[in-house]
Order: sequence, then C-alpha cells, then structure tokens
Amino acid sequence: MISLQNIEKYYTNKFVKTYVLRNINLEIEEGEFISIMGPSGAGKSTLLYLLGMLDKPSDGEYYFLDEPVHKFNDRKLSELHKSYIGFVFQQYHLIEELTVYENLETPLIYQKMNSKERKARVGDILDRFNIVGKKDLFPNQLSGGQQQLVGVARAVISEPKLILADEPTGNLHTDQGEEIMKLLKNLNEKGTTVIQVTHSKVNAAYGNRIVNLKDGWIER
Amino acid sequence: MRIISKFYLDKSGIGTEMFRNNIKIALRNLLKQKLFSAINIFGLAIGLAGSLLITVFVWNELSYESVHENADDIYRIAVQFGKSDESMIMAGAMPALGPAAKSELPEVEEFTRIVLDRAAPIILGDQKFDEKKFFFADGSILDVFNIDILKKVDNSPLSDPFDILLSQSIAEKYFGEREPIGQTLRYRDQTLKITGVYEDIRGNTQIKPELIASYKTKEIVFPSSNEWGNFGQDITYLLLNTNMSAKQLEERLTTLLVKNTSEQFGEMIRIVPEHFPDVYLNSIAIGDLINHGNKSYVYLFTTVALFVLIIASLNFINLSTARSFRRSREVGIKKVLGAQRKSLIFQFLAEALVLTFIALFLGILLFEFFYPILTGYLEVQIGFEYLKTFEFYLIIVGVFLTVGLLSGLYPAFYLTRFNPIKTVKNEVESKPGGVGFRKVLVVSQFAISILLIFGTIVIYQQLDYMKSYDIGLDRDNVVIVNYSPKAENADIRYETLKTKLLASNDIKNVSGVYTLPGLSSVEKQTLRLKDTPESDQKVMRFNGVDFSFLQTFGLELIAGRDFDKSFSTDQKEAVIINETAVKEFGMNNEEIVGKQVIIPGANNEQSLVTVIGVVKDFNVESLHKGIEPVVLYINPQRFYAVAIKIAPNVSSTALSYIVDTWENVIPNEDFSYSFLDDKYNALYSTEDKIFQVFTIFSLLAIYIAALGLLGLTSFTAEQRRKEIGIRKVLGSNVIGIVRLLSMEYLRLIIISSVIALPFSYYLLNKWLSDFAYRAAISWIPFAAALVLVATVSFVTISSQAFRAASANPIDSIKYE
Repeated sequence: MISLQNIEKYYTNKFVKTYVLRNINLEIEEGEFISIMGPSGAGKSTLLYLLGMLDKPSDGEYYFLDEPVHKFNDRKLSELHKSYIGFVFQQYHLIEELTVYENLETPLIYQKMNSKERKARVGDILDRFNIVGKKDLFPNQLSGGQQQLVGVARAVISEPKLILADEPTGNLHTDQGEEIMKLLKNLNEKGTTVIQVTHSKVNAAYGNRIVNLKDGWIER
Repeated sequence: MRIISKFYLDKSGIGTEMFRNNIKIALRNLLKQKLFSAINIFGLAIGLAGSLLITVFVWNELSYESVHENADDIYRIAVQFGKSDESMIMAGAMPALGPAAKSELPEVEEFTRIVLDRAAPIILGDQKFDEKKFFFADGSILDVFNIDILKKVDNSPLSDPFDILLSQSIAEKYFGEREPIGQTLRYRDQTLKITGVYEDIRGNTQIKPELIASYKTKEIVFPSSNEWGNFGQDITYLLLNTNMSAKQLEERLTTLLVKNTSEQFGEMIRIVPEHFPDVYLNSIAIGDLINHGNKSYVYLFTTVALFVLIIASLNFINLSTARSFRRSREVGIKKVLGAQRKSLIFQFLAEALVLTFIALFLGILLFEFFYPILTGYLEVQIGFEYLKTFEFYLIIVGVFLTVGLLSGLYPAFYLTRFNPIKTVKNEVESKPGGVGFRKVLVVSQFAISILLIFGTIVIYQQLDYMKSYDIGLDRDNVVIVNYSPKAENADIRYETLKTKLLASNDIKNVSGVYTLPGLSSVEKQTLRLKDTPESDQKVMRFNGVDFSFLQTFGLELIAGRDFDKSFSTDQKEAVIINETAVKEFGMNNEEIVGKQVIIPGANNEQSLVTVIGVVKDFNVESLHKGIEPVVLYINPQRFYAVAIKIAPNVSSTALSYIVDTWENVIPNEDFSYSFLDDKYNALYSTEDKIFQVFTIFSLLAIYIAALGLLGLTSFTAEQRRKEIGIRKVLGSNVIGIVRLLSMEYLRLIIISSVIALPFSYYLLNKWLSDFAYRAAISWIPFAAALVLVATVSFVTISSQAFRAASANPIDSIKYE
C-alpha cells in the first residue's frame, strides 16, 4: 500500500541543513496497524504528516497505492489525501464553531458528497460511535474523551483506507485512552490500515508492528 | 454573494453546502465574540453614516443648476468696474447688454435679464406680504431655464407691463383654492395682473423665483436712465447655441460694448462671463441672486468625510485581521479534512464581504436616521435628490468592495498560507503576525484623530478671536433697520424719522448709512490730493453717512473735527477719512486735516472736498479682509439702513418705540430690524457651521478610533492571557501588567502625534491664511488634542488591561 524509498526531510536555515528524517525506507501493507515510537524530536510526527501528504519529503520517493505521490502537485495531493486518509489528533482539533453533527459532515462536504448520502453517513456514524445524543453539542460542551471520539468518528466517516493518528490518547485519561485504542483496533480489524504515533508501550501493543525512530533514522 | 456562491456551486450542488457551512462558522464566530463584533460592525457603520452625510452635503453644493437642461450653454454676464484685480465684480450687467448681444451676436440664441426685489411689498386686499424672491424678468426666462408653467393666459404671459406669474405655493398662499389667473395684486403703487402659475422650482438652483413680473414692469417701477452706463441690477444670462469659451465670449461682448458706447468706457469696464453651472461655487461677484457657496469648504468637508471613512475602514480592517488570527487552527483542520486553499481564501473573502455588508446596511440606516437631524441642525436645505445619483451608490459599492476585500484579503492569504501541520501541531504562535501592519493602521487612525481635534480647536479659537476682536467700533445696543432710499423725498422722511426717534430717552443716537461698517464692502472710488498729479490717484472705499455716524457707531475721532450741521459746507464738501487713508496719502493725522481732495465723477466732472477729520481705523468688512482706507461723506439720499443706538438694557421698550415711530412716519413700508452684533456674528456663520461639523466629526473620529483600540486591546489581552498568568505567578502585580499592555499602544499614539503635528500645522495654516486677522496657532491646542486622544486611549486600554490583569492566573495557565 505504501512504499517509502530513501525519504529525507530537512530544513535549510541560513545554508545549514537540519535533518528531521534520514534515509527512511518503509513498506506498509494494507491492513497493518503500525505504531511509530521514539523520543521527542525523533521525527515521528513529521513522518506521520509526510505519510498523510500534508508535508512533502525533501528527497526520496513515496508511492501510495502505487501512485508516485512525490511527483504530485498540491491539488492532486489534496484529492488523494481527502479520499483515502483520515486524521486523528492529540488535541482533537474539532472546529469549535461547528456542532458535532456539522464537524462530522465537513469532510463529506469537501468530498462533494450530496446531502442525502451525507445525512445517512453521519447518522450511521453517530449510531456506530454511540453519540447520537451529542450531535447538536459544540466541542467545548464535551469531555476530552468524547471530543476524541468525535475526532475518530470524523476521521473514519469518509471510509478512508488509512487512518493516521498523532498521539490520539495523549490528552486522555487511561480509561478514555483505552476506549479510543480499542476503537482503532476494531477499525483495523475491519480492514482499515492504521498508523499511530505514540509514546506509550501499552498503546503500541495494539499494533502489529512498531517503527522506532531516533534522530530521524529508523532503528533496526 | 451571488458570485461567491456561484463559485462554489458545482454539478452536485455541494458548493452551496460548503458556503453555508462557512457562513455558519462566520456567524457563530461573530456571536461568540459579541463585544468584538459589535465594535467592528458598529464602528464601520457610524463611519460610513458620517461620511455619507458629508458626501450628500458636498454633493448638494456641487450639483447646482443641474435642474436646468440648458445649464451648460448658459453664461451669466458679470461686470467689473476698473480692471485691476482689486476691483469689485458686480453680478448684474447693463440693461442694454442682453438685447444687444442677442440681436448682434449670432452665437447668442437667447438672453434673459433678472432683477431681484429682495423686499417686495405685495398688497392683496387687506393682506400685506413681504416677498423676498420677487423677480422681474424677460419673458425668455421661461425658455432659458426650466420653469414649468402649469397654467397661463396666453403664450407670452410675461410680455406686457404689469404681467406677473406666481409659483404654485405663492398662488396657494394668496388665493387658496380660488383661481389665481386674472386676479390682481398691488405692488409699489402699481396693479399687477396674474397671467400664469408655474410649478415650484425644486432642487439646487439660483433661479428660484416665487413671483416673476415682466421686465417691462421693472422699467416702469424702477426706470433706469442709462441703458449702457448703469449696471449692478440686471443679472443677465445668455443662452448660446454653440460652444464658446468664457474668454471668447468676453471678447465678443467687449467689442459689442465699445461699439455701443465708447472706446473709453470699454477701457473702464471688464465684461466677466461666468459659466452658469459654476456661478454658485466659483463666482465672486457681489449682488447675486443668492449667496454663493464656498469651494474651499467643499474641499475641506470632502477631506473630513474621507478621513472619517478611512478611520472607520482602517478600524474594520484592523479588527477583522486581528480577529482572524484566532482562526489559524480552523484553517489547518479544514486543510487536513480536504479543503483546498482556494476555497479557504474565498471563505475569508466571503465572510469579510458579508460582515462589511451588514455594517454598511446598518450605516445606511443610521444615515437615513441622522440625515434630517443634521440638515435641520445646519439649517441647510438638501433634498433627497442624492438618491437619484449614480455617485451615491458608487460610493457605497466602492466602500463595500474596498473595505470588504481589504479586510478579507489579508487573513485570506496570510492564514491559508500556513502549512496545516504547523497549525494542527500548535506550532503557529498564537501571537498574531502582521503586527507591523496593524501598528501602521493604528498610527494612521490616531494621526487623523489628532488632526481633526487639533483642527476643531483651532477653528474654535479663530472663531472666538474674530467674534471678540475689537474692530474699532462699538457694536453693542445698535438696532439696524432696513431703509429704502428709493421713495420720493426719502431724505426728508429720514429726517422726520430721526427727529421722532431721538425724542425717546431710550434712544441715544440715530444715523442713516449707505453700508454698515464692519459688515459689508462699500463702493470704491478714486481720489487724489489737490495739487498732486493724476498719477497719484488713490482708490478708497466711500461710505455715505449721516452727521451722527461716528457717535452712533462709537468711532473715535483722532484729529480734526466731526461732521457738524452748523458748517453749511459739511453737507457737500467735507469728508472724514480713517488712519489708513491718511497713511495712503503719505501724511500724518494732523497734517491732513484741512487739505483738499479731488474726487473725479462721471462726465469729467469733479468735486473738491475738504478733509475735516481723521477717524481711528475700523474694519470695513469681515476679518477675512484687512483694514482699508475709508472716506466718509454726508449723503442722506442713499441710506439703505438706519442705525439706532439705544441705551443698555432697554431693548424691548426701545424696539416697540421704534416700531411705533416707523409705522407713524413710513406706514406703507415694512419694518424689519436686527441687532448689529447679531449681524456681525452672522458674518462668521460659515465658520460656525464648519466648527460644528468639525466638532461632530472629530468626536466621531476619536470615538471610532477608541472603539477600535478597545477591540484591539481586548484582543491582545486575550492573546496574552497565558503570558499575563505566568507573569503574575512570577510576582508581577496588576499595575505592572496594565503597564505592559498599555505601553505598546501609548507609544503608537506618540508616533501618531509626531506624524500629525507637521501635517495638521500645515493644513491649518493654509486655512487660516484666508483670514486677514488670525489667531496664532500655539502648541496648546495641539497638546490638548494629544492629551484628549491619549486620555481616551488610556482609559480604553487600561479598562481592558485591568480586566485581564486582575483575572486569576490559575485559570489562564490551566487554559491550554
């Protein structure tokens, strides 16, 4: 599904290159649940956003479903990422001015889904995540766990092939965290590829493979 | 709106959904920050309302004569006697000029002459009316100007002597429901026959007669002896059938004049054709149908309107952009969820336009509300014609697009530029970028506010200076009664009136005058000392007065003697001149007394008079002008006003005595009076109005600027909430925090004042240079403006800063 070949990421500041990722080679099969681990500043998030096409590599090749992503322009990237990839963030990142329902609806609008189908899809996901009663609330009226639940719901609503989660439980207590992890595991079991960044060995254990990053290199 | 939603609209109709979604976010954002939104929208609304008010006023001044279809082809022919720049230009031409121009110049299609009777006594049965807009005019007035006849007796209702047309409202006033046509009315011992009724003339024009009598009537009521030698009364308009410059027309008419008079006469007179639509604002001719407008005030007001609009717009842009920085996260998330930059840019633009639209709508409502109030307050008659003008809407649409786009473009491009990772990873600092930009906006706002306030104070000082300036005469307790010298034996009648008036103890002095000192310009004439060559001719202002003139006006004699009836020669052969005139002759006050002066008259006559006294200088006209040399002589045949000096604190009894005496002596003429000091203050009514407008708008400007500052500080305070919390935990007290938040803006105000000072000093000096007498611009009003702006700002800022500083630090630290 994903193939990274010799991926490098660096920032140039006054002619000094600061490397974030070095010579990353990584193959990910469909249906995998991968945990990216490593100390702060190792480049975990950068790698995740690179995979999510929100950032571009400085060097190297990135194939997603055999498409040469590294050659794509912004518009094509945006098309690709919005149809295949869902994101979950540590800070949930719900749009505060929109209700739960509207937050869930937003990605579908960007995918230009018509309103009937959208309604069905949102209704379905509200059911699945058991948050029908919360649909008219605004994010700040929810607890952290509930917000993240909506966050995950929003990520999966467009039925992506890949879910990228950046420390999804980082702001939650253990119980809430466990619920979210189970949810991700569940999605994975139903065929969605999941890649998460995490500091927690417990959370990493939900996955089937761990990628360890240190100073931008993958540790073997 | 339509364009935008169209942009989003695609086959599936999803675009509208996205648009609706965005609007929803925008509105919820607005509601969430109520103070902020209210300040933002309201500031722009009142700014717009204010500048629209001025615009309508200015537009009114600029749109004169547009009601007349032929306006562009009409010239008004004024006449200047003497060709130096100093010579006065009279609005009226010679009676013979119009007819001669039509018959001898092929370019002249038509002419019409208007003579205005400013106080026409109309008698209708036992009713008396005093009409101020009574025109005598050639019948062609109906062809040259747009005057709509509603009914008339025949096709030439103004062709015969004693024909008169009434405006509809006058006809109703006189006759009510009755048929006016064929009725008669009495005017100056004549019977006039009503031959038609025309629709009231609305809109901006000088040609606003309420009654029009035929020109032939004028020739009977006020016969003039010399059709080519006499000018000043007949306001003459020429309708041309071809394009011609004023210069060309002047040449043609001068040739015509010389042909009909003499080479010599042509040398003395300059014909001044003025393009009819420009007369109202540009003409400096005296004796016109209505008072002229003032071009420089039109410019001044336009500038003020522009300033207010700029302040309000800057404010709006400033607050909008400041507010948008809270939304970088929203932008990031949307990008992650699949939004393209293009659609986000349009989201911000659309939002800004919608917000601007709301503000403008509110502004127009405010404008509609204040419009009648302001026009009433300023006593200007402005109709609603502006609603029909393209410009009015152009301004609104222009403001809409400019402000909307400017306030939207900046956040649209700035915020959407970020890499979404940075915003979702909270790497974009919550401290807004574009701080420099915002500072520039704040500085310009405050510079303009300081300028306007400074200007207001200086205008006030100048006004006060002029009103309290000692013009060299005593203007308290002087009643001025209008007097007409045209009746037979006017001089004898005057003597009777004077004697009877002086019988009262309340009345100290009475003097007839040709023109009132200190108020209006008087005739200029040439003269020279006896035994000096003709080249030593001087030009001085002549005023015909009575023996008691000096005493009535409290003028001080500093050499020689006053006019005295016991000297039989004083009647015709004595003059009193002022100090400036003495200097003009190059003598001193004692030397000049007893000297003889030659005054050349018409037809090579000349009179020889003796200077019997020297009066202390006094101002002949308003303080816009300097003191000029003045010659006073006795001339009871030409009194246009009677000045009556009354004892202090008896004005009501004295007035009723004056009225009774008047009715007794001159029963068939209307009595109208005013007080000299009121008349004097009225000289500066334009400045008064400017002062009022400046006061209103400088207050408006500082109000808007303060609103903006309030918004910005509350924004900064919120931005720095965490920092404030940490500082407090580290031991800073409330005062320290307030200082921290305030200093930044106070520094900006100082910068504004540094910019505003030279700029406003220059502008105000320019304005003051219109006055011969001007108050000095000191640093005090500037300092006052600065202190006012600084105080308002400080109160605004510290209220917000104090609130932020006194919050519990724990709340803000836990906030993240």
